[in-house]
Amino acid sequence: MNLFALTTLAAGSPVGHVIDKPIYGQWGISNATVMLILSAIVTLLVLIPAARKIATGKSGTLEDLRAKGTLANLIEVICLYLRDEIFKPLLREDTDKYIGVLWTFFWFILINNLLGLVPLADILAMFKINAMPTDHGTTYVGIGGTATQSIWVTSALAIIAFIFMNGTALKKDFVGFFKHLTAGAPVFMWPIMVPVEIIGTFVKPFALSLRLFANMTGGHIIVGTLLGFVVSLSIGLGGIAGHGLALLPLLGTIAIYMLEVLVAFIQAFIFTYLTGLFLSQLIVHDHDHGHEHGHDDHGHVMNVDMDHQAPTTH
Amino acid sequence: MSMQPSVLNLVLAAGGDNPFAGTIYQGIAAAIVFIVVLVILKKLAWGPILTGLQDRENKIKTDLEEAEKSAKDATATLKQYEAKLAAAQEESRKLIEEARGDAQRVAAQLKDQTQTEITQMKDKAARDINAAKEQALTELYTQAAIMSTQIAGRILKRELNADDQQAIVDESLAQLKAENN
Repeated sequence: MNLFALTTLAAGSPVGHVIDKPIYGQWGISNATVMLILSAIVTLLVLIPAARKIATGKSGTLEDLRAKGTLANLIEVICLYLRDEIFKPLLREDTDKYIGVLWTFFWFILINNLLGLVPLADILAMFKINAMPTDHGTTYVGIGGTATQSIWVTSALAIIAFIFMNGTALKKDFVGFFKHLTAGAPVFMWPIMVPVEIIGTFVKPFALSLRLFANMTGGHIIVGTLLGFVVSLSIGLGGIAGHGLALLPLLGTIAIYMLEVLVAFIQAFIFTYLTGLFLSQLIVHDHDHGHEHGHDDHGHVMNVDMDHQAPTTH
Repeated sequence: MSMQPSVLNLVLAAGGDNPFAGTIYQGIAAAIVFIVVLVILKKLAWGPILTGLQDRENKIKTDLEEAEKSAKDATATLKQYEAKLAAAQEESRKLIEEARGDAQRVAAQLKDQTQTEITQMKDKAARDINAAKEQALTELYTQAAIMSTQIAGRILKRELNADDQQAIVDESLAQLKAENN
């Protein structure tokens, strides 16, 4: 039995191959859970040693300020790009305060996405390791699959992002957070603006979770479907014609796989970027955005809304 | 599902799978794993990385500031040296002019002095010549008078004593001088 047959048989269908499965029939622990833990270990094993090589050395020379090693440099370039090019224009002087959480989102999601592209289940099944029965009568193993494909996992990450964004904004400027719900509109517009803004607050994390889930699921289903065609043609049709025709979906699979590697990076970036962007919308007050903080003659902190010139003391 | 699945079988099988498979447990697991990773990374990775990046930025910033300051200092020093050089050139020009003036003055002075000396020498020479001439003439006259008186004595055969002879000579000389004047 070849690898392609195993791939398809292990799942029973393209969707079946992609989606999360409970281990020993209990949802308490599933493929996604195992992959989350595996990704966490890989993330820590990759980033912690690299961080030591990026950290300032103690030799007292200029060498101290240089990242040592290929991996450390690769990680530094990405971290530096996210910090300086992406988040500094958004979060400004607060960037370094929040960049740790944003970096964690990026690397954790990226490594989850990339590990999901490694056909661990299929490789293990090929060697008949940890094979278990399923509803379809085929086999699968606890290791394998993409944790970020599970809507439950992406929702959890989005909820953390939601708490991070709104919690930070509330802590930084409690009254300002609620003022944001009016979007700086005149009072008579508030009955419309406030509900819209409240809905927006919840739609943002919902979109984050759905985007990551849909992208991971969609791409993997295409890969599964194309591999299904390969198996169908080579085994179902058979002969020179079957195997020859099977080359076409096989090439398509390779192309989509390449695309999926790109998608893994893009989705990790998008999730992180939007989290940072939404956070900046909540905590960074531009002059043209309508808020200026100052002190009135009596020393009280004032929040002046420039749009309608209504200073309020709080 | 058969061992040789057809495309139709695959499509039909796909309809039965729920892409939203999972429970709240997967969400809780994800949250716990993420927070654990975040806490560990914050302590062991993000701290050192951020410090490393900030240290480098500070080093670059201070180096740039120092370079800018050095450049400013260098420009200021250059201007200072240029001013000093200009002053030195001006001073040397003045010195040369002064030296030239002095030389001309000394030369003129020397010329005048030489001229004066020459004139004095000429005058002295003329005086000396006159004196010598007068002396020679006097001696000539004296000798001529002596000889004349001796000749006259012989002619007159009269012995003239020394005092008479001297008196005649003096008389003759006085007469001669009176004629010359």
